[in-house]
Amino acid sequence: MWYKIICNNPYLLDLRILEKLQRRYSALSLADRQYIREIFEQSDIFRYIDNLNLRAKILDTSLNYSIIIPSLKIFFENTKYIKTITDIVKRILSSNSKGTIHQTMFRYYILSENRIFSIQYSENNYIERQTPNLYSFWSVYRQIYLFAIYNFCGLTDCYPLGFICISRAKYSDIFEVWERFRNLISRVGFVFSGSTGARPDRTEFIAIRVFVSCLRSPEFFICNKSKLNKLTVYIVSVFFSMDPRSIPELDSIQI
Amino acid sequence: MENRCGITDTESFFHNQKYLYLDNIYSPNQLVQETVTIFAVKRNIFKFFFLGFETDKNQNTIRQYIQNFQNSVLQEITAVTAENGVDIELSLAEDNTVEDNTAINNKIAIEFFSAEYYTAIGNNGDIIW
Repeated sequence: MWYKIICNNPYLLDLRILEKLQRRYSALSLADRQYIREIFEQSDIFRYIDNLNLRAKILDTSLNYSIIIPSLKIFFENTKYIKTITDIVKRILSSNSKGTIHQTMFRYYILSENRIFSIQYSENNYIERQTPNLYSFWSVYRQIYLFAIYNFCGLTDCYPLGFICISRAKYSDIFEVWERFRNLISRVGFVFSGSTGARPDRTEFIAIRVFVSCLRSPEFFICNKSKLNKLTVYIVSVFFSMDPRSIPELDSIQI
Repeated sequence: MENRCGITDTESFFHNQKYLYLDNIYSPNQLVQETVTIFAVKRNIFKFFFLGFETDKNQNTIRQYIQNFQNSVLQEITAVTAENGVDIELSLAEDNTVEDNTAINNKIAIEFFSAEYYTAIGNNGDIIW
C-alpha cells in the first residue's frame, strides 16, 4: 500500500513520513486533505525530493488514497479487534472444524431453492433479495461478522474502551443477544444452531431434505419449498440438540 | 486520531450499532466531510478485512470448495451404490457456476436417495424410509 503512495520509490519512505501520514483519511476528510497539503507545501515531508513531477504525483496519491492510510501499528491494532470478533464467530462452529472459518461456514450454508436470502438492515428488520450468483454467501458471511462487531460486548467478556457499569445498563441481556445471533444465523441460511455444541452435517441436511421431498413428491403434491426447507432445518436442529449416549450405556444394551 | 484503528471506544460502539449493516458498509455513497465520522472508521476497518464483492479474491476459494464438495459426494455415492449394485449415472457440469453447482448437488443427492429408496422396495416390498 505504501508502495502506491510513494509511487514505487521505497527509498523515499522514512519514519517521519509514516508518522505524519498514517491514520489520515484524505478520501473522506477535508481536514485531512488540508493537513496533507500543508505538510507538503511546508516541505515537512519528502523535503529531499527535487523532482517536482514526482512530488506532485505523491501528493496526488496521498490526497486520493481511498482508505485510511495504514501502518503496521494500525494493522496490528485492527487485527486484535478483528480477532475478538473472529473468536465470537468461532463459537458457533464445531470445535473440530477443518479448514478456514470461511470454508467451514460455506459448508453449513444452504441457499433456498428460489435463491432468496435475507439481508439485515436494522435490529429486527430484514429485506429479501434474489440473486443468481455468489453474492448470497458473500453477504451472509459478512452479516455474521457485522452482528458480532456491533454486539461484541454482549457476546464476549471483552468491552469497548471506556466501558463502565453505566454503559452496561444500556446494553441488552447477554442471553437475548445470543438469541438474536442465533436467529440471524438461521435467518440468513446457515444450518447450525449457533450454540457451541455439535453441528449438523451438510450431508445430513440434504438427506433429510430429500426424504421430506420424497414423502410429498412435487409430482403429486403442490408444495411450498420454503416450508419444506424450514421443516428440514427444524428436524436437523432437533436431532442435533440430542445428547449422545455414553459408551458404557451402549455396552449395557443386551441383544 | 487515536480512535481511527483498533478496538472501538464505548461512544463509537453504541453510535455505530445503528448503522453497522451490510448495505451501509458497502454503499458506494460515501460523503466527504470536514472530519471523519466514527462510522467511516469502522467501515474502513471492516472493508480492509472483508473485501467488496467485486474485489473479493475468495471467489476462487468458494468455487474450489464447491468442487471439492461435489467430488466428495460423488465418491460417497459411487462407493455406496457399488456396494448395493445400484447403477447411477453421475456427472458434473463443465461450467462451475454456482447455480449450476447447487442444482447438480441437489440432483445427485435426490438421485442417490431415490435409487436407494426404490432398491429397498425392490428387495423386500416395503418402504424403508
